[in-house]
Amino acid sequence: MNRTIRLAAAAAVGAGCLVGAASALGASTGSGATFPAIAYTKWCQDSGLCSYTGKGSGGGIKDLTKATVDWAGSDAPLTSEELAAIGGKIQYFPTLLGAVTIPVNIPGVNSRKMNLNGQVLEGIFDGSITKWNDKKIRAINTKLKLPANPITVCVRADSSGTSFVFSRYLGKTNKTSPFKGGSKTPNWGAPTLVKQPGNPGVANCVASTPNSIGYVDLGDARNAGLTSKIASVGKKGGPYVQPTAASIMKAGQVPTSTIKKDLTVDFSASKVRGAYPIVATTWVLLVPGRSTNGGARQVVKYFLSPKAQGALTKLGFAPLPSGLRTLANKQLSVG
Amino acid sequence: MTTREARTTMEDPKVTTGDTQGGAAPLTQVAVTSGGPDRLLRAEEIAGPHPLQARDLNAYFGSHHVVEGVNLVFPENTVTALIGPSGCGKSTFLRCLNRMHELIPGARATGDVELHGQDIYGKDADPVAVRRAVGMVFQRPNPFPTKSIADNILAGPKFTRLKMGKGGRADLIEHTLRGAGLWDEVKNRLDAPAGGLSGGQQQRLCIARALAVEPDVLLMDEPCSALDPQSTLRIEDLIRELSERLAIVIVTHNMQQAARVSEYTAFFTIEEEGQPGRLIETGPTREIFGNPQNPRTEAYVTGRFG
Amino acid sequence: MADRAYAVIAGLAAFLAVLFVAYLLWVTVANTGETWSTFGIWGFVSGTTWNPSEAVYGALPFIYGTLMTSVIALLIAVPASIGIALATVVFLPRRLRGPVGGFINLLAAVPSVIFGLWGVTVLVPLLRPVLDWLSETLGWVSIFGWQPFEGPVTAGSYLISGLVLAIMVLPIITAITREVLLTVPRDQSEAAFALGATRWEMVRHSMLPWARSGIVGASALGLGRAVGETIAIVMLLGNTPGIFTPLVGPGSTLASVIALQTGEASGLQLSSLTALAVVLFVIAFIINAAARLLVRRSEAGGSGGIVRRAGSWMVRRGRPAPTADAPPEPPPIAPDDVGAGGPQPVPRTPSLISGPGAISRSRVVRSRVAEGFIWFSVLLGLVPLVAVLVEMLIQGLPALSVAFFTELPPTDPTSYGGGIVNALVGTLILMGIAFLVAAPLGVLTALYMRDVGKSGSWNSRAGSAVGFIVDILLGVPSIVVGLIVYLGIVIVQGHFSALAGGIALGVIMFPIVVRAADEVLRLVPSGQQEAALALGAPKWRTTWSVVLPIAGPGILTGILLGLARASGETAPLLFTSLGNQFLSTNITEPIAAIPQLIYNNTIITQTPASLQLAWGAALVLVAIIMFLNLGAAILGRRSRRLEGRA
Repeated sequence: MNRTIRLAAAAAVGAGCLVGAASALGASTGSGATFPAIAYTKWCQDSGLCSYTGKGSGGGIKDLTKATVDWAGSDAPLTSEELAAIGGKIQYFPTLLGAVTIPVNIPGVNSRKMNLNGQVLEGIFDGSITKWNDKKIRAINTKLKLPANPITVCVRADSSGTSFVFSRYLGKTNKTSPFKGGSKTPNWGAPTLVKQPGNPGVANCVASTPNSIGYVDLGDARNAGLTSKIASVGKKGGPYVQPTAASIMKAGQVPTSTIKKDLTVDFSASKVRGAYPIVATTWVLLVPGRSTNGGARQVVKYFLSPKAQGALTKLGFAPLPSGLRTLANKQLSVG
Repeated sequence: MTTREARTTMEDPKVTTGDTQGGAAPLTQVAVTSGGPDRLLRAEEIAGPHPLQARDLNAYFGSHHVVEGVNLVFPENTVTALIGPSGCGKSTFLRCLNRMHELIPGARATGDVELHGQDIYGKDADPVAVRRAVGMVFQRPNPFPTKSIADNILAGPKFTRLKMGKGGRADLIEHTLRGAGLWDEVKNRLDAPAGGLSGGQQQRLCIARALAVEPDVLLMDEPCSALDPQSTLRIEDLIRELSERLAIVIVTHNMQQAARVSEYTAFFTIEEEGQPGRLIETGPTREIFGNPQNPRTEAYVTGRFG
Repeated sequence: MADRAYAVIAGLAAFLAVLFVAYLLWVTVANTGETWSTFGIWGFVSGTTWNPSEAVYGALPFIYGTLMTSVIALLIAVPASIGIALATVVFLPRRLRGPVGGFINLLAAVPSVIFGLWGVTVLVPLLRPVLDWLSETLGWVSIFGWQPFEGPVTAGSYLISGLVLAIMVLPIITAITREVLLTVPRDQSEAAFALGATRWEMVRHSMLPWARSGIVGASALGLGRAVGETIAIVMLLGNTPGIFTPLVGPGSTLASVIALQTGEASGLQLSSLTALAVVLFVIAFIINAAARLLVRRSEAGGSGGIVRRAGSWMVRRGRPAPTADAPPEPPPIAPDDVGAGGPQPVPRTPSLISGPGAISRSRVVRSRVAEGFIWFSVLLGLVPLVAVLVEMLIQGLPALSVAFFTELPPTDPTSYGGGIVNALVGTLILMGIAFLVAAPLGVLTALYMRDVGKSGSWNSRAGSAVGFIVDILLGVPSIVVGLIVYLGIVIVQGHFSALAGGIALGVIMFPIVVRAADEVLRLVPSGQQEAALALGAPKWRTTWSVVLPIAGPGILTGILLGLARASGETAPLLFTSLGNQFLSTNITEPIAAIPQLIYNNTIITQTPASLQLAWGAALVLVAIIMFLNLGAAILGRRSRRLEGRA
């Protein structure tokens, strides 16, 4: 009998310890886009203000809707259904600029010399261009010897802001495109499609599949060792540019007056000469009126600080244009 | 003790070593090496051929010496019974005669066993071929339960790849089953699984199965110990019949059985726990039971010991 | 009076377990209603399109993908497993049998995400030329219009997924096959040897027939495991649903699409994903039920039971006996290596037992070929294992240091150093919760099934119902558990939490504990209890002071095995405990876990530095699981010894 009591007591104490040892960190939790995840996790850890889990923009918005997190990271504005589900009100805080790069893996072809534009990319991803020696590709790559091999298209398997940014860009460059407006889960029409989870998955897919193409954010492309495989992208007729901090920042050079009131600005397909065209900003989302917003605002404030913004270039992103940053800070103090 | 031994062959073979374990007490060593068995069946004494002969056979389980220095001859067309108390090494000795002993982990044997004058432990000898020529029937009936009765008979010839036609197979089945006295009972269900037979029938099937490969010698390890008296008698009849055609060596705990079926008897015993088993006395069965030379043999056969 | 209380407590535990299962079932039904009413059950199951943007959902491509990958896996794993099991029971030198068997079991401790990572980084590039060659030489092959090897070859493919899956299910099939082979009685193998069989002939004619149904059962259990496999498939199959698409190209499975889309889904999509989980559950249930039936049948009374059942059928169609009553002629044997047949013993030439003529050449060749295949299987099983372990050591060891166990992961994923203290503590806390959930409930449920659920007709019916539910739970794929706990706890509670993750792991662990406890309790000799009862001890007292001390080590073994299984799970944690980059000990907050840290450092962000951290974490995880398995094995041995004494 004694043993019973002792055992029960031990179990109770054990359970008590687990419950009682609450975390001293009153950290604000966020989840969502994997596109800025590298920056967010670094910022969270540097500041000690927050914890971030990269799981895809869609997942983050869903977590925020169900209030299972305090803030979400997203590369895409909410769809009307998402907005309705969350109660009709949402605040967007842009945090950084990033580029979606186009890694290309064709044996014997120097990818950096490969020129691509919105029309050609759109054709490859919707399935109207299926071979590397397609006329449309050859027309802008006269110096390259392109094989007659079918194109393997590597895309994201999970719902992803990167997919949204890229498909929105494709939709913008072609009036009849099925990708118009962009989607986190676009209906890719390419016949040979491989869907991988996460940006590293897409990067690995391109790296290990000959005659393949994909889209990956700059940081992940670098991390996966694809730097030498990144194609140059430009407007129809050029110039074709490599994604660099400078060419990304050029895309952000727009007059402050043209920025939408809710800060859902779209920098892609920039008209600025020498600007990399597949550029996007990414947002921290807050639902106004939530009790957790105090902590979340502290988080955003830190994200917009010069210290945080200054760390971006090293990670493969670019800082926000100063005009946009001012507007974001303003919204922070108002809301 | 019988059940204990039944387990040893069924389950973890290491248990067998337990039977022979104990403190080493080499006190009687000298007496035995100098003395040896009182009466031995020698090759010279036997009229007619003797297909199998053991010379200075020793068997071990790991470091345990379980059978020491056995010399024994098995004449043709006779039954030789091996008797002795449990743990005296008679079963182990039997298993040495067709190299089944070495299948037990840690088991090994030294000495010669000659089959038609050739050493089965010789460098070139193939244990597979040895076992084909020296068949064995076990304590517990062990037919292949999922195979049909017919396929049990054919299992051995299949291994040895005897080529025969359909008719040849049918004849072999009938012939061996008749030889084992089982034919009339099973002729209508040759395709039924052997697992469905009674214990006695299974044992006769095992004998038939062993006969189907035409062995020169048949070893039987307490073949009746798991059977009822009725089945036992049938098997004993069968043993006598078979002895007209081949040499049989049978291990038994049942002295009446030894007396009933065998022409020759060999008595094994151990001095005490931990000592190896030795051959004490051999001779015509009538003499071993009626006029044993060695007091230990006498003690055993009269039931005062063992 | 005390007995009454004991019955009530045990009953309450069982009832609680049943209630919880009922709740999860209700959650599932409530969440799938929309799908069934929109598409109809048959319409959903046979639907060939899965398109969230048009709100059309059909399960068929995923069912196809699940079955196809699993079938490929089994085609590779079953022969290899049988070969390895035979090697460790018959063919290897005795000294090597145990170590090799244990080594293969090690594979079971490697978490799914590591196999995925190894597959992506090592196997895909390595086998690329093989697949290219296959597609070039066999691309034209067409089976009713299906061209299994038609290019282009992609990074994600059925063949690679099936191969990795095969390696993953190899340990379980091998382990059970091995157990089954060890139940083959010694006299069966001796019977064959005594007839002059070679080792292979003995195996072929005496071991395999005896073990057949057990091996089929083991394979079905492996199949049950394969259909539920998630993370490795997500990383290796290319996630592109299709039916009768080339095997060198991509596909998708039920488990992987659930893992990929649940995080962002809502409404009809979430409902349809839950419906996919139901489909997966049904498939796994059917397979597991069949497997358990076969394994149990072959364990009970060797093959005797099966034989007897099959026997009555065979006897009826037994062939008529030859009518000849006359004494039979000597059989006309025409032996190829025997001098003459007939009943008369013929003195044989010495060459019979030695030399090249002793056994025929074709026998030697056959046995050699068979043994060659067995060695090849051992190689097939050992090479990937060694490769994964070596990879893990090479990549992971540099990460290990004191700091690895005390520091957080580095702030910048591109920088080296840091540690996994958050995930280590998180995993321990999750396992603690799972233990507190599953161990007491599990043991009490087992006691209920034994002591209470046998007295009275109502009770015994309830007892067997509980047993049935436990059996069902045992076969639920972990991704399904994760999804349902997400629906039933995370969404209801409105927060990801360590508690939800721990409960999900507890649900996975619970049936393992009950089954293990149940099996051990069964083995407690009834004489011992009767002795205690005859001394006037009440039932609970008998159970407490007689039964539990005997069964204790065995029950602990079950608990440790359950913990080992739960600690390597990634999929169910993705929707429940979420992950946390900080050290958190608050069970109401999201919490980190080692499998998830590996997932995040390979799938979400991947840099050479993050990979090193992931491999290091994998090393720690495998060490934890091995430690648990080792503990279970030692306790298991001790309890077996106790049992032997009793």
